[in-house]
Amino acid sequence: MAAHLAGDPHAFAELADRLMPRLWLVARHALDSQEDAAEAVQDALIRAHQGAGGFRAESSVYSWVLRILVNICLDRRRRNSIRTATPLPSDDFDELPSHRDPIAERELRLDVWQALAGLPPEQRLPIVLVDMQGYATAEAAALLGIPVGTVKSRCARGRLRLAEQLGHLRTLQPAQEHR
Amino acid sequence: MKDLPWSESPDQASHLREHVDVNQDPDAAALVAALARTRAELAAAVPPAPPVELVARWHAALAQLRPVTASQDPVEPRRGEPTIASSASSGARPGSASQSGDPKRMPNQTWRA
Repeated sequence: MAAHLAGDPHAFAELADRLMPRLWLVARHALDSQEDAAEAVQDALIRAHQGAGGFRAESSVYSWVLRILVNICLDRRRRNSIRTATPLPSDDFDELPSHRDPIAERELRLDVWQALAGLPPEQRLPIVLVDMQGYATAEAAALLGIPVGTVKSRCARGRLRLAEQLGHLRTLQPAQEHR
Repeated sequence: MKDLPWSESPDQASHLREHVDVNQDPDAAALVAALARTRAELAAAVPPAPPVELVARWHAALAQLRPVTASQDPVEPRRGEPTIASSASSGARPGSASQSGDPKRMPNQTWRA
């Protein structure tokens, strides 16, 4: 970021390259359409590029850009909900397989990602932030603008549902109440 | 399986450990193990790379932007807060948060279903 502000024309592109996979993960699970997610990531990167001088070194660059992205995603969700009351299909998570991972890992990931895609969006994003990206619940709450307890309860409900979908609760009878 | 207040528990596993003797309740023990395994799988899952065409599109969009320097910072830093750019306060435009990209000055929004 410092190099970008110092005028290095390639610095931000290199930085963005490192951030893109994690930003994409968040946007993809915050928004229901791949195109919306792609536009959100692009908007976030552009705003970060333009507002780089406002970055304070009190947090990581990723956290800073992530916050921009989350705000954009929340805006988009709000606009979409106003514009139309269409259902929220997880339309296309078909890009999930990746050539860089071994088969076993790919199979595990498909299970996890498919299960995650089946969660309600309000549970998905807290789980992505807390369980996949390592944010503390308080940090995730601040990012999402909701109380810590809400993040915890959404994570807890989402994990329980994921555990069911991943087959980890098959031995329990009957299924647990999780709503 | 004992009746547990799932909806009020911030974390089922910790709730179980605190309130249920998992050694005496096989279902509770299985649930703790299932949740732990789920969290472990989530933590181990490797995020998929974004599609290459999107990466190219994002880079193309960034390439069209004018270079930004510290003196062009459009965000007014908070009093006493350090910034990477020593001259960050110059050129600030108060009230331009929605355009600036400064997440701390974005409008309050909450994540609701």
